[in-house]
Amino acid sequence: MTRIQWYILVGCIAVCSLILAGLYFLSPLSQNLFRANFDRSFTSEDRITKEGELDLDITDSYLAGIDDDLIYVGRRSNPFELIVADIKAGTKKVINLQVSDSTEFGNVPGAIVSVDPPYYYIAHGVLPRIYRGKLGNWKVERFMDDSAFFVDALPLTKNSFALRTNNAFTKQFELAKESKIDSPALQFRNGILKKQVDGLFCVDGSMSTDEVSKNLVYLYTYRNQYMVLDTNLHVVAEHHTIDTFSHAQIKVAYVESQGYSTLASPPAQINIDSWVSSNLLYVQSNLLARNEDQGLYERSSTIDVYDVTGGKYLYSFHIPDQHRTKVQDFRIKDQRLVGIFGRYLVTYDLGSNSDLKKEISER
Amino acid sequence: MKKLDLLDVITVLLATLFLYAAVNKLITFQEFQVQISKSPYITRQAWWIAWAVPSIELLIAAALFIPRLQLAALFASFSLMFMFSAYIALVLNFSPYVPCSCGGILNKLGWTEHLIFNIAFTLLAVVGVVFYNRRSRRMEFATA
Repeated sequence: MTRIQWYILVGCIAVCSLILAGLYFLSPLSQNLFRANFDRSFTSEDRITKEGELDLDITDSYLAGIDDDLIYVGRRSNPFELIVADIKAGTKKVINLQVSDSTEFGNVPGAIVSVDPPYYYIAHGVLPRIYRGKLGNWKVERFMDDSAFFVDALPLTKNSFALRTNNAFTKQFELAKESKIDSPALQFRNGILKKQVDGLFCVDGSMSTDEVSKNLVYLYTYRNQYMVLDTNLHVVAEHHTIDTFSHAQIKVAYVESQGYSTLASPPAQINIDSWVSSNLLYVQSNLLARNEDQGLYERSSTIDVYDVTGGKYLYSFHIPDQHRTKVQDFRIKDQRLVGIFGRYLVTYDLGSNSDLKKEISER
Repeated sequence: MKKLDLLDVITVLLATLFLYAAVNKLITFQEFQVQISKSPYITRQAWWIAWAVPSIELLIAAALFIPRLQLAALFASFSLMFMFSAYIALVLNFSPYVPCSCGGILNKLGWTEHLIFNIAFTLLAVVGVVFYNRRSRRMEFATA
């Protein structure tokens, strides 16, 4: 190459770099982290203590359920592999579940295992199928005779499931109860999920059931609201979270040529995940509070705690990242938080709720 | 009789890549536009990038075959591939989202594979300039 050509080459690299830098500064990535307009009441950091940790050796795990000291972990890549972990003993056991038509499952991903002692379930929303087995007997039987499609499902009672599914008439996601003993088996509870943008993405949320009150809590992902429902999937109460985002700020586009809807820009996600236990709702929030330390926020996950019976905000705490990973899935039982951080299963002792409330009120 | 040399091979490879990529984006234009607006890097610029990228790809593909523009087209190819490569490297390392919007078989590549593929074509454009010089010198010789 001639000398002039070298100069042109370097010039090209320089111009390209300038364009890329320009794009970066024009993009939301170069902006300071958004700080919301509300304050949190943080408990002191030493209240939350790490109990134990177990290396699961896999990266696609999720929490299926907790039975006293046993934690059940499922694998997204293989729904028939159920891991039973005992963090106190530091052991784990891999169980192979047996399903009569496993070939059908194998071809379509998306089967999820849920454990609700003394039973466990394998649910697939696309086939669709729901199977049930008793813990200890690892061969499952078909549970629902005529399963309904769903996007999300959770065992509601010993004989029913709560589903989030598409309703062709209302043209949005609705909650429904699928029961083995009721007639009709599938009953929609239309109107609980309130459409704000498209009725599909805008009503996205996380569901969890309270092992004490048996209620189900649905927390929206893109707005500051949650609903408490009874075992018949009727709304008992509606409450708000402490942030001020009551309208889903998302942009949805429908791609005609391929026939799908998708988010057309990075969404303003308010809530990441939640779980309810002993009438307390734990919300993993995506927002930085006004009085929150940004460094701490970036190194951990912020959990806000609400009293489900009155909807009152109680206090917040941080779950620090483990092995440079944020908590990806968590559940609470008996004031113990169980979380999956990448390959690791970690448990925390949350202390007593009344102690934490007392600490906040005495400030 | 005209002999096919490596410059022609490189020209055809680059032009084919750009033509294939541009056509793929244009025939699923709405989907392409939606997919790139998912990337936090370019979400605000998606409205004009969606038009600009395939247009530039087509222009370069054409210019590669016009003798007076071939050298410029090679430098333009280098620049474009350099930006694609840098964009992937930045997205992989700094962005919370990694959407894919390339079209066709390029969609099937993993991110690392796609980065290597882009870097290879970036270097190919530079090699093209080298062979362009060789051909120019040979032609000077021939007419001397």
